[in-house]
Amino acid sequence: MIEQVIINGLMIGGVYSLIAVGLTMIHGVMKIINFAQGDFLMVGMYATVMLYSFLQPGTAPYILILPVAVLMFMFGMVIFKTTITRVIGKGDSNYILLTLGLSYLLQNGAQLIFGPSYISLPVSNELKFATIQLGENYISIPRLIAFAAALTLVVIMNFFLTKTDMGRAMRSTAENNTIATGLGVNVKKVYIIAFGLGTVFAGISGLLLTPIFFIYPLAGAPFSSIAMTVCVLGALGNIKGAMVGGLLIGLVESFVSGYVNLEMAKVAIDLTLLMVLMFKPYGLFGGGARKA
Amino acid sequence: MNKSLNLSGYVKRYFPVIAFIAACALVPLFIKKSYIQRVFIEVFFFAAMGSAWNILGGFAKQTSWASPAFFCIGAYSALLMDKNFGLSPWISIILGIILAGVLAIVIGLPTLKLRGVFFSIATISCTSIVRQILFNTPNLTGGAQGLTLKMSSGNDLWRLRFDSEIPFFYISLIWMMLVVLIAAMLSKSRLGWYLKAIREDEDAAQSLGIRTYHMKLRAFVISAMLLAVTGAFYSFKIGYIDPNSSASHDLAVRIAVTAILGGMGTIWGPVLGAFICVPMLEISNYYLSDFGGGGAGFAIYGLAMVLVVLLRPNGIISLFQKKKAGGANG
Repeated sequence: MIEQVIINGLMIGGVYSLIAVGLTMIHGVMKIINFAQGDFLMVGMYATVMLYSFLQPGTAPYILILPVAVLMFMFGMVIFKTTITRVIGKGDSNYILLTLGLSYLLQNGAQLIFGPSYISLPVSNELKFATIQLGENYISIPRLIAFAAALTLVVIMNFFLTKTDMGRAMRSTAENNTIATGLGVNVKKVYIIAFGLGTVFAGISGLLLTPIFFIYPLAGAPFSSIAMTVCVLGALGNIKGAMVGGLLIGLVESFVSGYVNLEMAKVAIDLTLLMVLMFKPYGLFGGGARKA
Repeated sequence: MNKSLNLSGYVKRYFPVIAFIAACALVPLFIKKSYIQRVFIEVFFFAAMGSAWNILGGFAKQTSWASPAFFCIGAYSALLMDKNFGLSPWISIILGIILAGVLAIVIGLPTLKLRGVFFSIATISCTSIVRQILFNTPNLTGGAQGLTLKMSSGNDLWRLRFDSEIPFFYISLIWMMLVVLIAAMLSKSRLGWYLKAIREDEDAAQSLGIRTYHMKLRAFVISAMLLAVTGAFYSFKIGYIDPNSSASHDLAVRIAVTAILGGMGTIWGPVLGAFICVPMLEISNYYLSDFGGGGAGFAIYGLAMVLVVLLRPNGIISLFQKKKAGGANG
């Protein structure tokens, strides 16, 4: 049992890492915590559903990663240009209210368009229920793919941030945007790319989850709080911290739901968040950029 | 001479308020439709809750999303006392106030140490923990079904059960005015000025010797108590309570938007906000419920929130204030 619980926790934890990396990038660069991050994930899920209707039923949805990423980047740009850009640096309560309003609008807008019903992607059963055996334990293939894809993206992101010019520009903006501007960094461009990438990561997480979870307007809501928990746990603005934090939260969730029940797993995540905020406000690993 | 001058000054100053109360009080004489009266009751209750939220959320700009937790404490304690012991809500409200104060301290002690957005995140978690507790204690709170008030015919002020909407109309009106009065007195009090100093700059306020943490905690407790009383009245009005409608993020957003849309940190902003938000939701639920997959009413809420932050960060009441200031200067 315990090995199975650990495997399940790590698998879903990989996806949590990816969502959290998106959130932590947005926060790192423009000091905004996006309360609508989970709902961007939901938008990614519906985008996958819509694009999937052009495909032959039964194909794996993973070939849609690129189109969904492009769509989500455009979506992120529209959201950024119309709303987010006006609250950067205007104080906490402005962006809290703005992004919560966006979250509310997206949830209910999705219900308006797609209805409140639960839908699932018509992927083939061979994919949906495929498993590989590992000793006495089973790993579900869709979860394994989601885990592998998510972690690959996180590693690529880390490489992008440390080894490319754009990544360095982003890190310098995160450090101090006034000085970054003075050094010739195009801060506006950095903002757009960071926000776009954050949206893309949420969208791809949504895509990776479509063969596993139901799709409905509130599907993203739990992920917002999970992503925040992961980010705070791993110190905000810290990509590696977000990665480890995601895996940890995955483990917490799977242990509590495995040994207590599913409802308590949600409480456990909320409690973890409160505990971390209280006792380790700079994250488990220290460092990271955070004012509190 | 001096006294009468003062009196006329007062009348002049408070004339809009008196006129507003009188106009509200006369509504049931002219509008006999019980549906419209119910909408007015909802407006008054949301104005009260918005004003209560405003004490911490507006005066000190500490955006709390824990209001449903306090609302539930008041509502559940009143309904449970009524159901199990037949206790009058007028007495169990006191219990609700005490419990809400205790819960506010329990939630506030750790979370109010956090600044800005981290306080917000923590309060969201608190609401969802309260929600899960309500769901998972079916023996006490009825779980997902919630509690239903056993109705009886006849008017009974002591047990808060009425045949018509009119008694609750006046109860809610009086309660709203009371909360507004408390908020107004608070905003002029020492605590009110401390809270406004915290809003402008918490570090500066602290460096001037204001115990910011204590002040925020006090405001949080007061706001929680007012929310609990509203919860008790409200649950007796609608006759039931369940975690899905009460301990939800939706309610937190509705309460906050009432204050934000009207004008955060102002006395009359939440009242104005309630007069806009509640009818807006009623109208859109009435006309747009079959539109698309539903949810239009709450989508409008989200849109209103976004638009207010972008276009009128000081709320709709700033439209009127500007005019007034311009008139005085010109």
